[in-house]
Amino acid sequence: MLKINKLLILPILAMFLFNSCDDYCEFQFSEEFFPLEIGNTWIYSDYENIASYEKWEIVDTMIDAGIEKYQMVNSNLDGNIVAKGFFYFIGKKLYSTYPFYSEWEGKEHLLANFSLNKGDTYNLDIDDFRVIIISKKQNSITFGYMPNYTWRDFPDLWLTFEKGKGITEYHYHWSPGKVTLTDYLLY
Amino acid sequence: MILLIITFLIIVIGFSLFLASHSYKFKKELNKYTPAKYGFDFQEIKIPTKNNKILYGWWVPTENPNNKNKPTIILVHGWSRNVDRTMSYIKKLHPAGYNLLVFDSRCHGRSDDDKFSSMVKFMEDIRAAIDYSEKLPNVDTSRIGVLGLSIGGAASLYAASLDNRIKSVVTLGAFSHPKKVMGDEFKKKKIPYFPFIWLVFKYMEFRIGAKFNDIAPSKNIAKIDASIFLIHGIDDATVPIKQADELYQAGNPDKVKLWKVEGKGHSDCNHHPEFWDNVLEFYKTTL
Repeated sequence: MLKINKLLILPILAMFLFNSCDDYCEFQFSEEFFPLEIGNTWIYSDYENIASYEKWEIVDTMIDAGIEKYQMVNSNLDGNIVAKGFFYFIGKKLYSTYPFYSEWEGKEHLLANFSLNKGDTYNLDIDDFRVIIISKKQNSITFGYMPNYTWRDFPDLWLTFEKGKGITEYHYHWSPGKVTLTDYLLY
Repeated sequence: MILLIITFLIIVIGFSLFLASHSYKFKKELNKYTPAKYGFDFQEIKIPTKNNKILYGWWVPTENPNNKNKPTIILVHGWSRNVDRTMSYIKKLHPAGYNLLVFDSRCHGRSDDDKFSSMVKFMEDIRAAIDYSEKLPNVDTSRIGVLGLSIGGAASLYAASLDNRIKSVVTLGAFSHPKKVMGDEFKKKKIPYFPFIWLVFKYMEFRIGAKFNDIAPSKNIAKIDASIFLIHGIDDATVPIKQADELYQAGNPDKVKLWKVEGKGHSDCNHHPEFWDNVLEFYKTTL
């Protein structure tokens, strides 16, 4: 009798676990929040000014210690390179060497941890920075970044990742004139 | 017994000196962008200070088809920040017809280092920027305004109390008294006032060469001839809103206006939907 009950309970329990996934199932596939593939291109602009046009393109890939790392090149309207950096995933964590802050130049940092929830924080190993998860919805997650200095209680940099698109907007000091994704091409 | 007392004093003084030198320590951050991002013409400038240091800055002249002298606003960032912090202000003030002068204060951004940074040095840097602006073309020297963020706001008030060339001041999250804002920070860390904080304050006063009571914005605001607009987030956890009330109460009621911004903290009042209408209206009527 006991054995029969177990056989009945286990599938019911499994069904319950599947159903409980709901909103955050998508977050199991963290790569969807930043599709890294050679040729993928994003075009951003400040919605009020075309001069702020910026292109981000994944131009190369390399294997380092068994991890596939993707090189992103950020250029402006004239084609001049603004910045370069590598991005790669380990599980639900997105690491980067991209210098969103000038101080981050070349330094590897945990740019985004997609397993965290709204209000969670973590410290970056570099330059005494902390990151706070500002919002988490079914298809998007926003991270805020700020140095751990006295009198800093508000992020300087915000990044929003959207499922299937990558980074769809970023603010750097000048919100609400944020830089937004205006076009993208994924291979 | 004497040895015990000496050891105790060494520990107390050592800890206090550690607090004084480490609590407000920060790493210099360089600006990442310039006003060119918005397609604005600008020049990188080098402003000399009174102790022969050089401040890095931007001169963003307003479009001036009639070649007439225009009002100028000096933008002052907060502690540990740099000119990048003022980008959103440049974006709104430049099209409104103001020349803008922006700089990294000493020990900040691309400006020269000094022995230390302080509110007094911010104040001196603001006055150095005004001196510099007077030599620039198409500047109406009778219409100089300042917009200061946090310590930059407190220093703007102190500068305006000493320098009547400043006609209009907007502050965001300015503190009323250095002792209050620092005292609150130390209280949060549960450090007792006596002997530690008391010693820290004494050491800092010795270092900056001035008594906090002499430089505190709340002690000087009544002397200011300029029109003042204090903007302060009600939810400000860094400089509590009561400090804005103290500044307002200490000022000349004909000269000082206070806007307590609902739902905003220390660094985000400019995100309020009425922010720019209020600031531009204030400058329009006072500058």
